Amino acid sequence: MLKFETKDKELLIWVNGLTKTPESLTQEELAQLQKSGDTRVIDAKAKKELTEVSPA
Amino acid sequence: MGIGLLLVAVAVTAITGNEIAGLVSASAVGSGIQFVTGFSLLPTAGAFCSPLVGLKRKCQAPTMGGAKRLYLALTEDILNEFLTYDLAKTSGEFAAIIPMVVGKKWIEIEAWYDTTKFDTEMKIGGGFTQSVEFKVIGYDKEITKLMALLYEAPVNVIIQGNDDKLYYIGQKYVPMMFEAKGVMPEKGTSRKEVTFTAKQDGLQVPVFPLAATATFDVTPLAA
Repeated sequence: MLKFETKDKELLIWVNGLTKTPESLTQEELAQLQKSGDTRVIDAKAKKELTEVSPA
Repeated sequence: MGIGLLLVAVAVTAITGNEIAGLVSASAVGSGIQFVTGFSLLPTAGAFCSPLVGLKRKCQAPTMGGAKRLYLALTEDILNEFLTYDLAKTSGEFAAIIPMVVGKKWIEIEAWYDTTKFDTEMKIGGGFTQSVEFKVIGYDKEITKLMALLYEAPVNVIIQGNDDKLYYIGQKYVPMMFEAKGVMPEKGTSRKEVTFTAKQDGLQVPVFPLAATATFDVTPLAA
């Protein structure tokens, strides 16, 4: 499950001819953003697993 | 092989004490090797230019002009010179996220309908030129503010054409600078409008298409 992480409350992202808020991005669009090098798109599941195995 | 010929020249010069004889002997040995093996030290045809690639005719695809959306960013907010001549020569388009300084975004200008146009030229020995023009109608405080903000402000431009494709105008280090002309007509048969134009030459690339996978951050327009 991909997720867009930003603290910017007024961010619009131009993707596939539309300007969209981070919350309205589909998984396909998030995958596209990730593929094009957007480091703000993270894999929520992988991040959670990493947090669980990391020492406190 | 070059080192070998150099050694021949040095050896013959040392033996004969004649530099000309050394050079002639190296040249003769080189020619002999080329005659026998066909191998040449000098590059053959096509070594100086990138090989050309053919262009296929495209039918039944909309290629109409006109533009629907226009975005501007200060060139100082762009992270690096991501559009290069090498990229133009190989890919011909940019397909990734447009690199911006953290927190910086593009702004949108809602130009009036059917007024945005752009063009590009290729000059022998002079690189590429690019230009862009758009109009806003009326004359009010927002337009005055835009004119003041764009005064001697180096920017890059992205235009979304009516064909939905994106086109990038300007480069980080060869940016566009806008001029504007506001018209307040004398009669009621014409409208007040401001025309913004920018032209730049000496660019490394022509107007650059952005692929469908290109993305960028935009500041929402105030309601």
